[in-house]
Amino acid sequence: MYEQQLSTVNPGLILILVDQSASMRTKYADSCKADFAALAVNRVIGEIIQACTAGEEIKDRCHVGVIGYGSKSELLFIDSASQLATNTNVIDIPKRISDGAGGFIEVSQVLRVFVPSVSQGSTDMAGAFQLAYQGIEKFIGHFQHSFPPIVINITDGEPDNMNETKTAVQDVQRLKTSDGSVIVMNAYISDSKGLQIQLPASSESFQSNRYAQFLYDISSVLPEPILAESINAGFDSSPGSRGFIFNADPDALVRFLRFGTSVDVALVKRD
Amino acid sequence: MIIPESAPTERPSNFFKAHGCYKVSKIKEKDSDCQDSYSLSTERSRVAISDGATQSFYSGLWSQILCNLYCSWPKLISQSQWNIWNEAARTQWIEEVKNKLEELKEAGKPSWIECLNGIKLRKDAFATFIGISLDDSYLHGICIGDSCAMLVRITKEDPEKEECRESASVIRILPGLWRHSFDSRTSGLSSYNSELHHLPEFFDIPVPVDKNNYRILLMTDALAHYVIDMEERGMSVVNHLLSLSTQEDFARYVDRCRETGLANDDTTLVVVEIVNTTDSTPSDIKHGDFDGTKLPGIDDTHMLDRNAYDNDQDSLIQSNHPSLDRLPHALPSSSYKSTDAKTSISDIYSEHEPIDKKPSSRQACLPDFLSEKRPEKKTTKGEAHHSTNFAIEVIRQGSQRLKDLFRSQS
Repeated sequence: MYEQQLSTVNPGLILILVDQSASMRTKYADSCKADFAALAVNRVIGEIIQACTAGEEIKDRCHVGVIGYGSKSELLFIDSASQLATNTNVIDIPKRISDGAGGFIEVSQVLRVFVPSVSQGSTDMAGAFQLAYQGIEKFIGHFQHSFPPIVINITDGEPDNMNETKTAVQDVQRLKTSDGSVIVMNAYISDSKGLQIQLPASSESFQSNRYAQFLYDISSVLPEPILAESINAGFDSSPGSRGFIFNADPDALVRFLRFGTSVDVALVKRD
Repeated sequence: MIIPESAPTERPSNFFKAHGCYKVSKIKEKDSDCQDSYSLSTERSRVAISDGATQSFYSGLWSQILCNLYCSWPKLISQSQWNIWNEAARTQWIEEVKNKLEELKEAGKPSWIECLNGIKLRKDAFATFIGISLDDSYLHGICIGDSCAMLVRITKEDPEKEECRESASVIRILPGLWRHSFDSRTSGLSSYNSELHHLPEFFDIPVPVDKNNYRILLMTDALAHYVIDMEERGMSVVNHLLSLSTQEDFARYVDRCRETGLANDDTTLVVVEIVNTTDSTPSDIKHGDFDGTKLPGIDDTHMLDRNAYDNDQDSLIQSNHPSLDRLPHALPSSSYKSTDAKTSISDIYSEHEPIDKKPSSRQACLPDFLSEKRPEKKTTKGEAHHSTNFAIEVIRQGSQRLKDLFRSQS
């Protein structure tokens, strides 16, 4: 289980749920949470397209979807890598790279913009997971033997309705391909210096935090191959670890997103 | 391409004949996705194969440049030439990637963004490589990573008869430090000077005196592991590899091997036959068939820059272009017959019995001086790694003895 290689015949699906509620306006890194989350998501989608590129061709080894949620939830897009690559809305962003001699140089990188920065309304997380259910069900209908879809939820606040959200997440987690059940991962972002939790194997240390406990409960236990990938990615995970980070600062969010979106790509045998 | 003007050129020579060049891509991948490359120059007596890492940036292009440049370089690439040659390969790669970017932009292909970002972020290509160059006395080699070469001896069962069965046996695996392990990360050549870049292993071994009885098989890692595994089990597949004569044969053979342990990876095999110079017939490969003449559907950008070699009458066979995959890869020089004429490629697995039921045929397939050292012991799956190391050690020791034997004969 969780070993199917990505291919155009059996592509993967990564569905990212982005909280776009009013609280996402609060300061985070050099801007606000909404700006940072949008940039981080656009970047990882670019990385997924890059990973699907072989020479001149962009192979549909992976599909990506994004659902934004505030007072209402909306499927922003769900498409294959080659279709996503046709997005002509691009910006130049700076990136520091090694100069090969122990220093760094700044170069500009072309980035496709898929997700805008939005922050208004409440937190319809339940609606977002219900939309995710519909998209995943349709995907699995076409690709029954693919690596199971991965859902990554980025949020900064409590959902409008916890019980409804929990039910919607459980429905999503029941969906499966022949290679395993859907994996749900949650990232709670915060600039506070509070307790940071990454891929915990138990909730013992944060039981008193009702919201952390809630997100822990709705996060999937990482199956063995993905657990191994998390250790490779530098996380201090152990058997039973769940796909969940709490009080994630910008660095932790980027790391978590990279790990979550590269899980199935990493399982493609490299030679 | 930078070629030092002062570099003295080698006198063209013909110390081997091409026997066959084949490659297939991974299951469910198109031929054009294959990142393996090979190149072969009969007049320079050079052959090379390279395995481009799938996830790296334009690795198929990189592997092809490495092979082409090795086979067309005007001088034997020794340690002193290494840096110049390597820099020339890198320069050519980045120039060709930049050309690709312009082509992608002109064609309006979305992947121009990935190409541009790759160039700006200095993404590198990564490939394993092995190149063999033959002269009258020595086989010179360069190797980085887990592509490998095998020196194979052909023995006639009854040398007195002209028409008799032949048997092939692996007598040496090159390079000597080639590791039989799937788990370890392989070393390789990077198109940038990154931490992934490794220095090559250079080796020189004497050419056997009875040259006509030897073949050199170059293969990428998956096939190499498989061949050694089968040798280990006493079910040598070398005879069958030598009996292949078309790309289609090879593709069918690889399909069958994948059902019995060959890893799903790009797979390449090049077979050359060592010949006495007096016997050599370079016209076996028609000049112009592969040597830079534009073939139908091949872009100039994929071809080696031949301007520097206008005066050479070099036969250069190269791979890793989609349209080349549609061409016949086998070359019309094979006179080899399989040991069992009744056995077709499609039948070979029916004759393979489970290891614990079949008596080892290693005694028959290895030369006496190798087999005499092997303890009589059945190999179990759990012992495979140790026994493989042992086999490699035996082959090393055997080849040393072989070297001594050649010396004493000459």
